[in-house]
Amino acid sequence: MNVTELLLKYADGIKNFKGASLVGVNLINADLIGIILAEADLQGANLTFAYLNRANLMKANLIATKLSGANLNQANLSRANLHDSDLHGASLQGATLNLVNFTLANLMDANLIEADLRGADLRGANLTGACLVGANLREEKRLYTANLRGACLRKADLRGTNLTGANLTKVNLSAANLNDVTLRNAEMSNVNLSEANIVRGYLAEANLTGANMRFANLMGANLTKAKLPMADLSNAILQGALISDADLNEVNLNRANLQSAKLTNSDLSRVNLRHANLSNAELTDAYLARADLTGANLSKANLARAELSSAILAGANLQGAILPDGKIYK
Amino acid sequence: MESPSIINEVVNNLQQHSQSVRIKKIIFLATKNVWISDKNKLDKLDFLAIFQELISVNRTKESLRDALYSAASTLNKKAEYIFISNTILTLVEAVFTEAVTANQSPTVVQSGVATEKPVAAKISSFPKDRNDLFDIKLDIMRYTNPLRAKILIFSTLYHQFRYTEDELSLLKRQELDDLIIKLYRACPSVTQLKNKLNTTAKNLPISSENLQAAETILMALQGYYTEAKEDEFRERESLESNQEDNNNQGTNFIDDDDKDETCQLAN
Repeated sequence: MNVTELLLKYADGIKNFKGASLVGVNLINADLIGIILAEADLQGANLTFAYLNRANLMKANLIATKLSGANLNQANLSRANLHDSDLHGASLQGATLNLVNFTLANLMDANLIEADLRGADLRGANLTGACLVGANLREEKRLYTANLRGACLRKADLRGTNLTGANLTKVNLSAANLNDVTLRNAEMSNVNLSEANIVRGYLAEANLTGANMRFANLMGANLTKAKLPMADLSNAILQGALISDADLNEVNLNRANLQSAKLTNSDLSRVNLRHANLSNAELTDAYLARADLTGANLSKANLARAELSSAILAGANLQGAILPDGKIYK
Repeated sequence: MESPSIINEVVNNLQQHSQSVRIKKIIFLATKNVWISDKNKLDKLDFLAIFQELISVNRTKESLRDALYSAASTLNKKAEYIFISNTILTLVEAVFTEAVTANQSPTVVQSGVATEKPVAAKISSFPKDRNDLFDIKLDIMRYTNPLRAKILIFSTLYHQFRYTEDELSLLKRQELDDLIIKLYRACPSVTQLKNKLNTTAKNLPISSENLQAAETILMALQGYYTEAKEDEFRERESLESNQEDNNNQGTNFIDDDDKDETCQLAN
């Protein structure tokens, strides 16, 4: 089918072009609102600034298409193939994007607000600065998992997204906004969360092995039972965070702010807590063997029944702290 | 409930406005989710009742703005109805001020702080908090196409965008975040921001869409302008005149976020 034919028919009120062959066509700026192009072949087509609001593109072939600045609000792209497509600055608000192939796609500065991305494959995609507020990336019945492995989400806005069980291995989330995000059970080994905002984030049971969380803001975050071996949390803000029962083996908490944090039962063996602020922190039953607390502030911390033998306490401030034997340090 | 006389007055103003037909259409759509194009049907409506219903659901200016913009975004003539929405917002300001001064439960705006004035609640300077930038971007993205917003800001700061493959590639190396910051720093007042954006928008193709983008960007940023900002700008200007002028001829895409950029404005 050629473009002229398509546009003439569309103008006449025809919307159903299911399975149409439109490889490499030029549809820049085209008004195709509500069109049905399910299973159509649009490989390499140029749809820059096209209006595809509410369009049906299920299972369509959109490999290497140009969709920069296109409007795909509320469109249905379920199972479509958008590998290597260009969606720079596109708008996909409220779109149905489950099981879409977005591998290596460019979604820089794209609007993905409230999009349904369950089971989407975003491996290697570029989502720098993209807005995913309220998007759904939740793992579905162990069958579909959103895969973002190796994707770039630097400065992306993920507030209010549901990333339960999502695969975020090696994802770059530096300076991203993850306030109030649900990351329960998420796979985040080697993730880059430096300078990210994760205030009140729910990271219970998340796998953060080797994660880079330098200068991240995790105020009030829930890291209960999280796996953090070898994670770098130096200079991170963890005020009021819940870190009970977490695996913190060899974690770097140099200069971290752990004021009023809850670390009951945590394994802090060999952890670097140099110059960390642990004032008013809850460390009951914590295991601090060989932990380095040089210059740390432990004033009014609760260390009842904590294991402190062989911990380094040079220059540490223990004013008013409750010691392992229950006595208060004066 | 706000005093009846204020509402009556506001409703009268809306009904007597030269664009009253469009005003009624968009208000009806925002309230009842139904579009009436027949003028006769519109005239027969109890407009006062509909208006009261709309503001009882949208008790703050921000909420009303969202409702009107949402309705406008479903229309073909979206840009024009965004304009009408802004007109409505200006005319109904009195309704929201009244509520606060009459000691009703103060209108709680996004930041959670009760406002004393009918202007935008965000009076903090910029970007005091990285979250501000996220909020601004969210506001812009909700109501306009992100690429169009980038092109507009780019054209305002550098040169009129040429819509070629090369320029589109160039734009991919500029993040929307950075463009917003540069735009804010380049415009010392809301008036300047408004004029520059509108002038640039008028010179770009498909100007109605770009004018709407201009309006959206203006709305998103205007709350961050305070008197302090104008002083700060004047201070920085006098500092810059002592420094070597940065390469500000046309395009300058080197990442220089620790230098202030003197902006090359589109004519």
